[in-house]
Amino acid sequence: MSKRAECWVYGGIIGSTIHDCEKNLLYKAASLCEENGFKLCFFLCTKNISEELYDVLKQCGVKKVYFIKSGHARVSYNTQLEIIIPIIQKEQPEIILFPCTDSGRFISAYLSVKLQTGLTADCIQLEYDSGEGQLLQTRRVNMSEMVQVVTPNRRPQLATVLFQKVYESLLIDPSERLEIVEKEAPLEESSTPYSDLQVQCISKKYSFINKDIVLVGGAGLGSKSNFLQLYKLADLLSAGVGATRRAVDLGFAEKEQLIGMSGKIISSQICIEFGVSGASQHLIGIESCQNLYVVNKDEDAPICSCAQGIIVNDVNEVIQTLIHELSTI
Amino acid sequence: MNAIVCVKYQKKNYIKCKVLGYPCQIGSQDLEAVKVACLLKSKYQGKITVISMGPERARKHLGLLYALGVDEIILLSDIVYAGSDTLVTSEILSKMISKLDHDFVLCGIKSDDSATGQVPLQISARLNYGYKEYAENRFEDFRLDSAKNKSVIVVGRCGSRTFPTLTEIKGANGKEVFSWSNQEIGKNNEDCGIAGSPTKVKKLYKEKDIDRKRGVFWVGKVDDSVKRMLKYSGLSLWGKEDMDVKKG
Repeated sequence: MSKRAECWVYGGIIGSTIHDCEKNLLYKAASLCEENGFKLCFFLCTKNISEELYDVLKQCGVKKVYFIKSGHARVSYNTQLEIIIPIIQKEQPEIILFPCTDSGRFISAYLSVKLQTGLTADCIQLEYDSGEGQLLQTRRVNMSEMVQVVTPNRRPQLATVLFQKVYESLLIDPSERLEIVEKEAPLEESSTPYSDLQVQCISKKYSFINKDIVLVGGAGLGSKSNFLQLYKLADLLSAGVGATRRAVDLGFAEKEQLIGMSGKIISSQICIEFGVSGASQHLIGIESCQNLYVVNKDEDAPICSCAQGIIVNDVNEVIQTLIHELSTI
Repeated sequence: MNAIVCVKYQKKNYIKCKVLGYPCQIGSQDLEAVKVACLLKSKYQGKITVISMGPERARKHLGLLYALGVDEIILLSDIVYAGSDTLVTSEILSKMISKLDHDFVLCGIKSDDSATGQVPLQISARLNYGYKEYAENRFEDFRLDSAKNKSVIVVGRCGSRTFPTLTEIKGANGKEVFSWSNQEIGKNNEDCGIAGSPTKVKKLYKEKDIDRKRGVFWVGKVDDSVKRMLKYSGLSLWGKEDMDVKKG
């Protein structure tokens, strides 16, 4: 029997454990691999694979790990590419999936050029057509239109995937060992043509991943100090805090917090939007929330048409009242 | 300072911005990149070249950019380019860029229609340039010496509006949008357009519209509407001991 074709998931630089973002992507990829007989491989750079990380990866259905060992915390994109390209050319994976993070977008775009293969951005649905041997990648064009893209002739098939909350857990054979391919990262060279993007992490406390309540702030809040009030409210509700593109551009929030087409998709039980007008790109990010509440001055804003409840009032006043009400309960 | 700005011509239903009160079918983010280039020009002098790959009908819309202070506009239009995906588009654009004199390349973050955001990255990968992202509030960080090594710079909103003067508008009137075709680029016809693109669109479909009930509006006093909202959503119970019961 010929060697099983590989399906890769790019993890990038990872600390002691993987984020929910990569975990969800791995779950998704694992079910794809299970059905079609691929071997799920994970590519990462870290200091060493801790026991915790090893167990988590195994639980996610990973069979093989490509591991760049590096003494320092950051391995530049340039180095990652230099190491990853020869391995890809040798192993010939069928599919490589990337999370929609800065590094995922960056590496995927560079790889598509270096390997001269197709790349689909921001997929929300992945299926495999085993007859044709093609990955069916579905992405949104706008609010109501979807497009299904394939890469018929070139391999590997590259896709960045917007993550959604996945609940499934996998049946894993505990005796199975992970196959680990280790590569040592060279010492950092100084003349790198690729400039690194700063990767900033918001405090994990307010990360909206796997939270039941998410608060989203928009440009309507007016200033950064008003936006910071959301964190106070989030403390009371143990909620996550997200932001719109405009709020991120204005510097109210970090890029990590961006919700929408170019950021993350959330599927929390309750989502409360403060001062958000509701551009279609943002609505894509929140449409799978079960309950949507909106605080907005303008009752004709597009976001009001898809909300369960709308408070038509001054946003900052409402936040203060909410904080007051919730802290006195 | 010689800058190249890459802009995209989009379909009519994605119009998001106006130039001189005229609805302009150019990506709103790309237009911001043009404005940033014009701001830089007023500070450092130099030449701004706008390039665009698109159909012949984009000419009218691109011509408007002369009024903002752009020096040269080139429309790369060829029937063989129709249906190109990001990989092919970035190759054609980077070939075009390498033929023009420039210090750096400016791009918008992403287009309003397909919004992949891949082309600027792929251009920088092809030309081996650096890649930088600037959001609105960090625009002041931009200094000319930081662009000494050629780079692709992706801009967010530039914040300030530039209003062209009457003379500029008048001057823009007679200026011509230059045309390039595949002859200037010299790419094999088979490697362009749909035939040369590795990704193919299998199908395009509309999702069923989800009927959503119109929500409840709470208007009036703040405390009153907040209380009602808390009661309606059940949030007032949140964080209490019986939270798990409610969730279950």
